[in-house]
This record gives sequence, structure tokens and C-alpha cells, in this order.
Amino acid sequence: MKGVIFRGLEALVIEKCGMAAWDDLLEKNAPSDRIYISAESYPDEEIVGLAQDVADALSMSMPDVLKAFGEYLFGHLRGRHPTIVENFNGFADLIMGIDKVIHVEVAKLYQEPNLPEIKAELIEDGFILMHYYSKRQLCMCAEGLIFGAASHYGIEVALNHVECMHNGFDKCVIEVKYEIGNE
Amino acid sequence: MSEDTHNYKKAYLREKAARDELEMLLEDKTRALFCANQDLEEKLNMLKNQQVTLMQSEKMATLGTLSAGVAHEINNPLAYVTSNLESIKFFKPTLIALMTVAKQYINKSISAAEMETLLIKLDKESDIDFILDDLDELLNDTHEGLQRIAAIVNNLLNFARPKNNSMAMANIRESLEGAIKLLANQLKTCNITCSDDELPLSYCNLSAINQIFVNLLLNAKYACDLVQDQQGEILVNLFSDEKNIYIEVSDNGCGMDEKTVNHIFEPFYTTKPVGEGTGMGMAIVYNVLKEHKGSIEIESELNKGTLMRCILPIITLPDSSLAC
Repeated sequence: MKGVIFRGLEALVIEKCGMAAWDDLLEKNAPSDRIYISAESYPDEEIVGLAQDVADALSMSMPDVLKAFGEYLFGHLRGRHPTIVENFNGFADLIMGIDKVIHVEVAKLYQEPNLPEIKAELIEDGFILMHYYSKRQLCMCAEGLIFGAASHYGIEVALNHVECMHNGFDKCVIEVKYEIGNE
Repeated sequence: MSEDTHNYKKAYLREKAARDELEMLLEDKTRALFCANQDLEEKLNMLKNQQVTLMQSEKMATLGTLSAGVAHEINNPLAYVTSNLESIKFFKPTLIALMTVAKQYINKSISAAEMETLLIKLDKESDIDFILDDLDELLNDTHEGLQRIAAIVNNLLNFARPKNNSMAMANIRESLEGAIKLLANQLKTCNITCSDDELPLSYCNLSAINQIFVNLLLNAKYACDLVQDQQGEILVNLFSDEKNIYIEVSDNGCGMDEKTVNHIFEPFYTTKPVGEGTGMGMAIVYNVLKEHKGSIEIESELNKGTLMRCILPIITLPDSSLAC
């Protein structure tokens, strides 16, 4: 997992729980000399351990934490790369451009970013069907990022996770229904 | 929040902001580097494509130069093949009449006496003895002439599009023999001597090797032609040791000065008058040698002559890094 994701989590935890909480989480889940740098890769287990402990500390379920984190992460990434987001014409354009635009931009910045495979189909205005596949199975984080994007454009969005890798499917299928006309 | 904690947090946020800024700087540079690299890759691909096109153009230009000589080579046998066929055409009525008489006799529509009369008449009118004497020679010469034309065309085809127009085990000497046959007309002003050492087979592209011989021989001939009152001598020496095959082409031509030698492999560099040379010949030779992981050495002295030595490593197994 790339350091930029850890840095997003760090910012979220410090904002919500304080610096001491982040230090405790780091001590428990990462080597003692760990410093997260965006462009570096770190073991996946660290993010899972950190997220699990955040869930425990906040008495939230892991999916809820990932969702909240995804939402927060969108804002964090938008702040770091405002021009990428500005190039989209709205929520639907951004979701449809994840693979062809956002992932291409990420690949420019990071070596072997191990991005999830995301295919988005515009079924009709207001309805996108998203196919998600990643060995890490962080589909909840993807959901959070979608919520974060919707929040950025100030629209309502409803997600229906019709097929999920956690339930034995090869990939996740997420129905994205969003408010049109206000993108 | 205690003052210490407050100060600690402020310091942390300052450090975090610095880290963010540095990372942004790094990301900007990485992005710029990535884009520049992509640009370079595109340009490299473009250059590679242009190089292939240029090599093909040069090959076609060389073919153009060769065509004049080849046309002359073909014209000679073509002239007597045409003339022989005219003669055979002239004999055709007599031959048909002879066969008609024979057929009539077989079908019993004429008697033996009538056949004799007809044959005597035909012999008087057409001089069958002369036809009998001449026909064999006419057909043999025609056959020989057509074989010569076929060989010339075959040589030309082998140059332009050999059967193994890709990497294959081959004897480089075949390439030399083809080039000398093809250039026979152009090279007739010079004496050419070739060594006849046995060469090992090597994994190579004969089509590309053809270009080496044609360009080295034409350059040697050009250098010889520039020296007046002296018979041009070109010596082609092909030999090998355990590791390499050596192609040496030497001449007693005008030789080159240091400046020419230094620029000889540059594309479009030529010492020939405008319109006579493309300046791509030696660039192509260099490129072909490079593709075969070979090299070239030049020994040249003004007014004495030049020796070009190409060194090609013997390759006995397909090498994926050789891309011809």
C-alpha cells in the first residue's frame, strides 16, 4: 500500500483522536522507526491493523471505518492534487474517469501503485454500475471515496453493493445512484 | 491542552506541512519526469520507425543504381533470345508443313510416292538441311540466354527480398557472391579479387548483409574511379577465426582524409557531388553491423587507398537481442 494512503489515515486519526492516539496505533501496528512517505510502499498488513484499531477505538465496524476513511481520503487527495479533480465536469465524469484518468495520473507519480481494477458503466443518467477488483478487498474504502466525491460536488448518492468479494464473489459490483442536475 | 502539548502539536503541524510541501515538490518533479520520459519514448519510437523507412529508401535507391547495370546485363541475352526466336518463327511454316505431310501419310490420305514428292518440294523451297543445322544452336542459345536473365533477376530478387529476409543460419559468402554478380556491370572498370576461405555459418540477416557488400564495393569502385591512369584494384577478403567473421574490402583508390573518416558513418554525409550519393551508405553499413553486434575498422591513406574491415561475431544460436 502506498504511503499516501497511510498519510491520509494519519491525518484523519490526528484530526479525530489526537496525536497520542496515532502514536499508540503506530507503536502497535508498525515498526518503531516507521515514517510514512507518500511515494513509498508499505506492507498491507499495517493499514489493515491500523484501520482495525481505529474501528475498535471509535467503536465502529471495520467497513464503517473504511467508508469514513475513504470519504476523508477523497478530501485529502483532492487537497494534494486539486488540478486532477478540477479537470472533471462533475461527479459522473469523475467516477467514469477513475480508470482512464485518475489511475493514469497516479501511475505517473508512483512506481507499481498496485491500483484496484475499476470499470464504471454509465447505465443511464443518475445510475453508474461499478465493477471493483483488488486483492486487498478494500471495496468499503472505494465506497467511502465515492461518498467523498459526491460530497465534494454537493450531491446525494446512494450505493448498493450488490456483489461483494467478501461474500465470495470474484469482484464487487456496486450500483451508484446519484442526484442529477446538481453536479 | 497543556502548553507543552500545544507547542508539540504546533511543531508537528509545521513539520507535517514541510513534509507535504516536499512531497508535492517530489510529485511535481516525478510527474514532469514521467511526462518527459513518455515524450522521449514516443520520439525514440518515431526515430526507430524513421530509421526503418530510411533503410528501405536507401535499399531502393541502391536498387535504382543497380537497375541501370542490371538492365544492361539483361539486354544482351535478351537481344539474341529475341533474334533466335525470330529465326525459329521463320522456320515455323516449314516445320508445320513437314508435320502435316507426316500426319497425312500416317492417316493414309496420301501415298508414299505423294509424300516423297511433297517432301522434295519442301526441301527445295526451305532448305531443310540448314534448318536442321541451325535449330539446335538456336534453341540452346535461347535456353542459355533465358537462364542468364533468370539468374540476373534472381540475384536482384535476392538483394531486394531474399528468401530468408530475417535472421537465419547462413553463409555470408553467398551475400558477397550475389553482390558481385549484381554489380558486375558497375564494377567492370576494376579488377576484383576475392579470397576463397571457408566460412562458418552464422545466425544473420543476409538481406542486411547484402547492403554491407553493395555499399563497400560501390564505395571502393568510386574511390578507384577517382584515380586516373591507374587500374582500380579491389580486394575482398573473407575469413574467420573462432569468434568472428571478418569482411575486408580494400582498394587502391583515392583514400580518405581524417575528416572524412571521422564523419563517414554520419547519415547524409557524402563526398560525392550533389545528386550522386545519398550519404546513407556507410550509415546503413554501421547500422547493420550494430544490429549484428559487429563493428567496423577503417584504415585509409590519401592517394593510397582504403581498407574497410567489418567484424561480425559468429552466432550459432538465435539471439533474441539481435533485432534485424
